[in-house]
Amino acid sequence: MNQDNPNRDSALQEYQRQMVAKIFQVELSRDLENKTVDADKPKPQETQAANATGFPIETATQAALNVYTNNFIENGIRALSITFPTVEGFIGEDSFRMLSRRFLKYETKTSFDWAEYGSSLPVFIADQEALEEYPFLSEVAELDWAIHKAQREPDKPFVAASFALLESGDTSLLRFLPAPGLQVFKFWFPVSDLYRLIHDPSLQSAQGALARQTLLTEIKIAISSAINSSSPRSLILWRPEYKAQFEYLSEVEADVMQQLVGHASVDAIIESIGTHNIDLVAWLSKAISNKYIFCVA
Amino acid sequence: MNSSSKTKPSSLIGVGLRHSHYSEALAPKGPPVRAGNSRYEEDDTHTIDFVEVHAENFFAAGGATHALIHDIAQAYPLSVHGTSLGLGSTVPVPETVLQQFTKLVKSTQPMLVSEHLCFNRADINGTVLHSGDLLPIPYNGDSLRTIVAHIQQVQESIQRPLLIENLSAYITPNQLLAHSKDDMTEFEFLVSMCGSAGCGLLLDLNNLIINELNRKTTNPLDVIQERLNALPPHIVGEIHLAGFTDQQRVTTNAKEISSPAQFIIDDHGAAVSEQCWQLYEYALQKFPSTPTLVEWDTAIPEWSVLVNEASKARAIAQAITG
Repeated sequence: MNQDNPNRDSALQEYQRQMVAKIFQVELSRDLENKTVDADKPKPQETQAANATGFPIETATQAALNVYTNNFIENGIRALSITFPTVEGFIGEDSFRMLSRRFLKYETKTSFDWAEYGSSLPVFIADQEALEEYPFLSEVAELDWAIHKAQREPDKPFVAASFALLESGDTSLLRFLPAPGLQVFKFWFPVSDLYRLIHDPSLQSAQGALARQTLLTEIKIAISSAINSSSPRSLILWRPEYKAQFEYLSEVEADVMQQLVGHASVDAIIESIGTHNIDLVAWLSKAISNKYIFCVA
Repeated sequence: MNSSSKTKPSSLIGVGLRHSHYSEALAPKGPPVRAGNSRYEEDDTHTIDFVEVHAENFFAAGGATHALIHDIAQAYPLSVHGTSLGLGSTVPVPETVLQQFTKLVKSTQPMLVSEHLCFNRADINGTVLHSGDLLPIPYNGDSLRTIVAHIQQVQESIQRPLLIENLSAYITPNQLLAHSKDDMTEFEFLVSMCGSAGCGLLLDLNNLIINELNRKTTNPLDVIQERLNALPPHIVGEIHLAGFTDQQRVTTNAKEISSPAQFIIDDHGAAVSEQCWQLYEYALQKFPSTPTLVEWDTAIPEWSVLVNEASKARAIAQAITG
């Protein structure tokens, strides 16, 4: 890019790499670090400020870098608290800040948009010994992430008229097009109730104290059962309008939905429904009224 | 693609629209919609002529934000302010991100589109890491060529000129890498950039003040005013006003990395500072009728407080333009 001095582009790149590496508090690999600029090679005393790994940086420079590192951490904590509100609800703001600070070093930020950051938080939480008193927290994080993603999925039109094709079209070629973000998950813990506990406004008020206590008791029993259970429960998550919704499914319903998510033909889904002895009319009615499916095409 | 004082909207006053104000700003009884170049002899001194939104908040492929930006664009003329393109980065702008930005601009047809004089990402050991921040670039020919190429790429994609905002910074590139030197002053760089890229300048007065305060400049406003005198008026397409938290009053959590006391942080966390109002009066005489935006991004106040700040800006603008 630089016709006058080919090394100056490297100087710009080198500065940008040094700066970002400092903010992320990661070390540049030696190969890249040694790729310095011959024509404009720094003097020994300049190297003190330039070296990414081995030398002290002047106090003022370090103080300035701390501002950027702090910005990065604060922005990250804010973004994660928006994406994972239920996780924060359970462990509280202070613990969430500590968790986020550790996580920011675990999952490097490669996305332009903070809203796309955080996919590995459920796995990270599962490995945190300090969070052992919240055995369900990893699954709660998984649900938060799924909701967050579903609410950013492309919009789709709900085409009621298209369902007439089920009468007139070739069902071996037709497919049900699912709602934005429709997925089937397996959860061991009662994530639906756990989510309600944090987000249901009626449970947060003084009037809701009794209902909250009842729900807490149910959750404790469910958590205890989950730990001793041999199989997880299926939960469907989808976005009928702007807000993601979720509910438990029976295992046979989940099997049918998995086929739908896998783009199976209408014929294959009808066959699966028959195999599981599900009432086809009732299933279709529910799938349309709940807006699990938006269209037949 | 040059912006011109003859064609830019006159004396429009806007505010940064943030999440906590959506419902009030979009309430049916809210401010009346104004057409582009309205005058201000009307009875309402508390109206907002335009709002600025951060582009990335509306980058989702679908969902509620799509409906929201539609509602906002129906209620107000828009300024779309990008914060993530990092046009001074040596790493290219990914096509997917450019498409998201372009789609937003084309779908909302804003009155202003802006980004920053900064970089934000770099290839670290084979992976491009994204700081999510506005990081300073050296003012030299290489930086100039890099940012001009990226500005032109974006302008070609959105089919209109960008405004580029001058930056507040806590470090100069040569502090970190001695041979990453400046060949020109910030304002020389800005003028060259606007000339070469055909973009305009979003003149952030608060950023200029913060930089001089952090440099411990004795008479910061005098220094800044002198620089403004050398700025060609036709390149200034928008002015940003803001305040900053008095860092002396901020107690930091000892467990966190503390903000060094010697820096004033550009947090947009207070009312427009007195220095900023003074500088605004001066700047408007030099760059009359420039659209002006009040920013307030942390410790966000009631909507009415923000609107009141906009009214102060309007009063100054009216006094100057007569």
